[in-house]
Amino acid sequence: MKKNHNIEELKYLVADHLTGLISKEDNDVLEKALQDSVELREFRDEMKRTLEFVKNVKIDEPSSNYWNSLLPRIHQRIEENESSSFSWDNIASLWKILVPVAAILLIAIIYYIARPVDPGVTKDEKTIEEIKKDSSQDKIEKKSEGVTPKTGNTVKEELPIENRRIDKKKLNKTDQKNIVKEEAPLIDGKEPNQEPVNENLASIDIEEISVFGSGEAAGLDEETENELKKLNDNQLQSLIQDLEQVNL
Amino acid sequence: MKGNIANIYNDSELIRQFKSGDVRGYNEIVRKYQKQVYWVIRKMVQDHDDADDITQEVFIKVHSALKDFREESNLFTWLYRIATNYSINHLKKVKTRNTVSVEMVAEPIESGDKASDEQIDEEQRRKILEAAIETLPAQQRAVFNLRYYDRLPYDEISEILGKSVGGIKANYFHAVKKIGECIKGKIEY
Repeated sequence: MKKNHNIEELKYLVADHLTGLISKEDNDVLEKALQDSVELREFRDEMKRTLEFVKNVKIDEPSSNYWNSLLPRIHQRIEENESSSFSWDNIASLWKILVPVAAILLIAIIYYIARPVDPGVTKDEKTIEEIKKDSSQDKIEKKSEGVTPKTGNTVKEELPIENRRIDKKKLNKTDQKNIVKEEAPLIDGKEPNQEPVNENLASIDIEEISVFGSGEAAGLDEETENELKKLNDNQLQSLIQDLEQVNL
Repeated sequence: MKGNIANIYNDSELIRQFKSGDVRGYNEIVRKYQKQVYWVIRKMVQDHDDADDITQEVFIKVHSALKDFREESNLFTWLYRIATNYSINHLKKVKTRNTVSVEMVAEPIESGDKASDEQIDEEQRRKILEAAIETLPAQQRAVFNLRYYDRLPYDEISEILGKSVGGIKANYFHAVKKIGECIKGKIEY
């Protein structure tokens, strides 16, 4: 204990001094300080009254029967706990299995979602390649048969104009604009103000027109759209012919 | 107590006995420490029924954890630590309880031939003290009980509560001071 103490530090020793729990060294220091300090003596007297009050308060004790019955009741509760099927230990051991399984499943799902796509060929490019393949095969077949193919042999073209009504709800805005002419009332079996239509183009469905009208609306990606723009007139004409032949 | 196994064997032997599968070791530990554990809890929670329930919980915990007890601290300190922690948790749950029912105490010891006036006075004094102790934060309450009633040294209280000795001394000082402030004016000394 330090030789020089302030009053506040010494106050910490007062309760132990009053209950006899203070060391001899600390007690000597406190006794000396009590002789010198009125404030410390007043504090000591007040604390003495408090501790005497506490000392004189008696708390009701349980009977001896209580002590005799405690152990059997503890054993009863232990047995109840053990017989209970639910156990946190079981849950904890279950987690040891569930967590790795969940982690593996999560990794598999993430891999499936974020797996790399072949960047070389887009879906649209694949479609164009397939179309080209089909058309070239078609040409070979036709040549070998020596028969001129029917122009505009699409199913839709074979239908009368009246039956070529299209469910507007199924179409997007661009397509709906394109269909306005189709829905106009017929005069003498002909459409009013009908513009001269290229026979080849007549076989192309309204949806097909929208493909060229707006690549985005037709679901083409930017890359494919740009590639279409790069084509010159001859290449474009050739592509249209190919598309006609494969009934797209 | 003659023939009491707890007096023959020390704590380590009782623990070893329990670990080897002999439940008598555990039973003796309960018998040996049940009163101390009960009073630590009772002084904290003040109500007999709560103290009874928590005492049972403490010994159930001891039953499940004793096999893993490595005797780094002595059994007595370990028991006090569990009892104090359970009491502090209980106090946090209930937060405040204004009254402690004497009627709830199971079979209290008969008060003898005291006059009824004295009994009333004693009852009032007890309630004043309980109210004063209830104003203490849980840790100060634990320190006050362990130091004042159980007369434990500061380093042992520090080990039980896991706090520094300096902090424990300060807690004890403030607890006594606060009790004094609460009872001041309510009763003539």
